Amino acid sequence: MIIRKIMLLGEMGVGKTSIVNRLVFDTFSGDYGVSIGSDIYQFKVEPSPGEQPFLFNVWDTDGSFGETIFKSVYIRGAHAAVILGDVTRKQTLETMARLAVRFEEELPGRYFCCVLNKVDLLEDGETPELPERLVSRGLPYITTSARTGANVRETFADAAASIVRRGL
Amino acid sequence: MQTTTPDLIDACEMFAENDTLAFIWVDAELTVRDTFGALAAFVPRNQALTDSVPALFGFEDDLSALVSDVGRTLEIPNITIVTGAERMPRINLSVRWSDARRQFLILVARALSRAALEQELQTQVRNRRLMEMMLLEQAEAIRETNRTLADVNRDLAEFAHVVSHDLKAPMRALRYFADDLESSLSDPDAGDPREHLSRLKAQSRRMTSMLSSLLSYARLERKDEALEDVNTGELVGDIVQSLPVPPRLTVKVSGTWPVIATIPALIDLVLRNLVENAIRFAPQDGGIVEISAEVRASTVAIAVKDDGPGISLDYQTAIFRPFTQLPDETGAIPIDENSSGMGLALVKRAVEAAGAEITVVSDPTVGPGTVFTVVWPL
Repeated sequence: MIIRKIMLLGEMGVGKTSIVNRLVFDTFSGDYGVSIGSDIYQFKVEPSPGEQPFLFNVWDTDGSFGETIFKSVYIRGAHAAVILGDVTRKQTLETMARLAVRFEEELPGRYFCCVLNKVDLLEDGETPELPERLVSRGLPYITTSARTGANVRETFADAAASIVRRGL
Repeated sequence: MQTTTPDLIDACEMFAENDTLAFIWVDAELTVRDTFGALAAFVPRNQALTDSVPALFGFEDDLSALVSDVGRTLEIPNITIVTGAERMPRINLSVRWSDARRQFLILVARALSRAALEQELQTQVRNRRLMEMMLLEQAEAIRETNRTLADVNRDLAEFAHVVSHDLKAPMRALRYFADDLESSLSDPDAGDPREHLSRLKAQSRRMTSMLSSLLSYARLERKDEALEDVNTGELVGDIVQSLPVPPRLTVKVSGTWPVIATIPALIDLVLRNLVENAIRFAPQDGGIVEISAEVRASTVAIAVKDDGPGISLDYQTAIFRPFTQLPDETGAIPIDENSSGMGLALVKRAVEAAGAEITVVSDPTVGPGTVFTVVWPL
């Protein structure tokens, strides 16, 4: 079995714990409280026929770490990161892009993806305003909803596929 | 009292039974050899450590480094492993290499009740910070709305001024022409009715033209229209080609004209009006109009220069107001049927809608000529 460590990063309240609960237990509460230190979950990605089973150790980190997460013990040995922002709070999207750039610098070559979460809270036809840094640097991103489950499993399946393809 | 090894074992057993601490012994190949205490009950023996304790997966290099750095401890505080609906207790992991046993010793210690208090405190801190962030965002949204309202108020005030002053005069003229027409129908000395009717119709056309310009002005506001690539060089060439240029007046185009992403109608309106004005005010016999462009870091500066009489400093703000026409050297406002007095007001409005800027440089007391410079975002 392939096992990889993936970090959930992002400002507090962007839905990191909601995403991992939707991913692992297919549940949504909307009131998970605050994560202190780090909570570790395991998620098996359904392998395609002929492919090796794949397991993610998902580290749900405390949002108040900010960029100090890169100096903490928790991120050591991480193979990948899913970096979240809340589409209803522009500031969290700026932080998301900043964390993504920093992840790219601190752990070069590792897989990461920006996740614009809570799209279920947008009005019909409304699109999230992308931070300039995300657009100008061409950072990869996807929109998700932990509430509805939209794109949650796909995000991690894509991450696993990319890690296998790139031999990370 | 001397603490003996059995005392220490008793103490460890007591805390291990109490789920306060546990130990894991791991060999140099990172295989779990033994465990002690219920907190480590989830760790099977004779299996790879990194499979059994997910929290240590990814730390293989750090563990290897401990072997050559005896006495150092790898600390991973405040973690919990969530394997199902039930959460394992929050723990601190401390790993050391024991040279005597040639094994790693892992201390699993429950993060004690302080963690529950810390959790509550952090939750409250987080809720407060979330509220603060939302308040800040709402305050910014209110400031933005206020800015828009201020713009709307300014526009309304401007419109009120235009309607009450600028449109009143032609309305009054219409009434006088109608009175004259009425008088001429019963009094042959009051002039030719056809002439009065003709003036009435001309004034009506002028009113229609003014209202039409005013509507265009009102519609020229910032819109989220799609940006398109505009070749400014081709655009200015087309504009010069389309305008009637007196044969003895020279129009020169120079500089670097980039392709910019903008709303085409806005830049077309701005350049067309500026070039048209420059051609109109430059000396018709031997005058020169120079149109140039210079690319800067994130903008292009387009200058339209004429060698006409210039604009007095007193009027350099007023020219951008609707229905403003400048007095000639005698102080009289010339009657120009081709001008509604809206050209530069439309230019200013379009420039603002495009996020550009316009400046005018002219001083008739120093010399002839006017330069309008538009700085347009690339």
